[in-house]
Amino acid sequence: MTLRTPSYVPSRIFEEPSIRYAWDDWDVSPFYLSIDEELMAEWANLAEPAICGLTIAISEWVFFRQRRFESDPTPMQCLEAAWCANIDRRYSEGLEVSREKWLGPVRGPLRVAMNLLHSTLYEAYGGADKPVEGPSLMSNLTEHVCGITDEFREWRTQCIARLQEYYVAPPPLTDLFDEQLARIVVPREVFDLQRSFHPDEAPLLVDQFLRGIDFRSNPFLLTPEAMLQEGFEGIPYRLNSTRSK
Amino acid sequence: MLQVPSYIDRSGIVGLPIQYKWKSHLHMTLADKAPKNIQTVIQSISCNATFSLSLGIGEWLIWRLHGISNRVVATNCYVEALWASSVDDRYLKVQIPPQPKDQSDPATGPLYGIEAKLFRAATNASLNHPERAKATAGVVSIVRYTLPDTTAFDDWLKTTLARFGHAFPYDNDIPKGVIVPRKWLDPGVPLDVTAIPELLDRQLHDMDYEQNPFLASPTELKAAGFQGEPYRYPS
Repeated sequence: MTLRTPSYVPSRIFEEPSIRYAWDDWDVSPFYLSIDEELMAEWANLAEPAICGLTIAISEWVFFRQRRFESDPTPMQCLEAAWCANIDRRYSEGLEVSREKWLGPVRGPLRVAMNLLHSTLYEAYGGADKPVEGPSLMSNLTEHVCGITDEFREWRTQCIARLQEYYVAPPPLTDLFDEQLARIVVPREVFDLQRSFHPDEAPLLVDQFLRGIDFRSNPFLLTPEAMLQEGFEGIPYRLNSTRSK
Repeated sequence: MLQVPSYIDRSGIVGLPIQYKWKSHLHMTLADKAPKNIQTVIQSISCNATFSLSLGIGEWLIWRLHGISNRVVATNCYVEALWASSVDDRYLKVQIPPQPKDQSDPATGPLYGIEAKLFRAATNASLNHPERAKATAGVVSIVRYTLPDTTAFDDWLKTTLARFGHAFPYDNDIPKGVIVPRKWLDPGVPLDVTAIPELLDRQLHDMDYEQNPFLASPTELKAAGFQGEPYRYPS
């Protein structure tokens, strides 16, 4: 595993010694399944990788919150694979986990988070619609698991502002064949507000991230051999030079 | 038989030598890579405009392979029948042409592929299917793959999408919108809705069902419950 604890998740969140929220594996919808149209409008104009990146970054609050209670490496592997998949979907075949193996107040929210990452990154992919519900649903889950905090909402607001500065989707008619869209990469560092960021450094950051991935220790990730066999062009786990322009 | 539209003729792509490789079922892989932004634009236009746009896009492949494969004639007839079905689906007698034995042939393969994908795109547009935009954008991917130079096609597509988006916006209350005549795929022809009856009448009247195995005859149309005069608009 190569992911470091993100600076933006306050330490008291992942050091929290107890579980303080309700959970029912047979009816999880009240814990995350409501849509805030007004909130979604804040990121609806962003490029898809930015919306997905925001969803993944929000999920880190849940994953790192639960790490203290759960030694199974699967959630962190899923998180790492999600960041890879946001660069290129072909790094993974999907991030879904089954309910049967992920029950209870610790594993249940992790399952919902993993499956939300899957639906955000894979289910809408290739279609006309952007997965604009992703950040909203993941926010609901995060606020249920971590508690509603000003810190979380303030961090999210600032993230959206940063994304609005650099990652607004190109107008469809000016990018009919997705050429600009295909070059957009959103590194994890964008969401670290302690750090300055300029999109010019994004290709380098993403390339460094990919180079550091130990794909053999992550069952969500495909090996370079498997990817090349499936027709992947370029060098797996490097940022393709045509994308880094 | 459809005649080559002047804007395609001018593009210089008619009958150009094949420069691409083809393998069986490649059309499915290509259609899966439907550009997202094209889908977004198509979602914002009416179902009937999407229907006609799909056929207009597909025609670039027919004319690009004109004179290269015997199947072009059948594909041309099939697309002509699809144009008729944009007015009334009973005009289309055969849903989809039979599969060729060798789908890996670089002319027959794409022609069969475009027939299959145009049928899907036309059906999805008629039904306002959730994948209406994806089906049409998939046709774009197949056409572009076969063109040696996509510049003229890309320019035409951009212009036509902009024109259709402005003239035929998607309306939740009337998702189908007006029927869009084939002539309006020509960027030089103004989009005047008062001309629709005349353009559709000419479009249907020029069709020869005796020479086109995919078109229903007036007798077959009457048997299917068609009222009025077949191959006229309004009937």
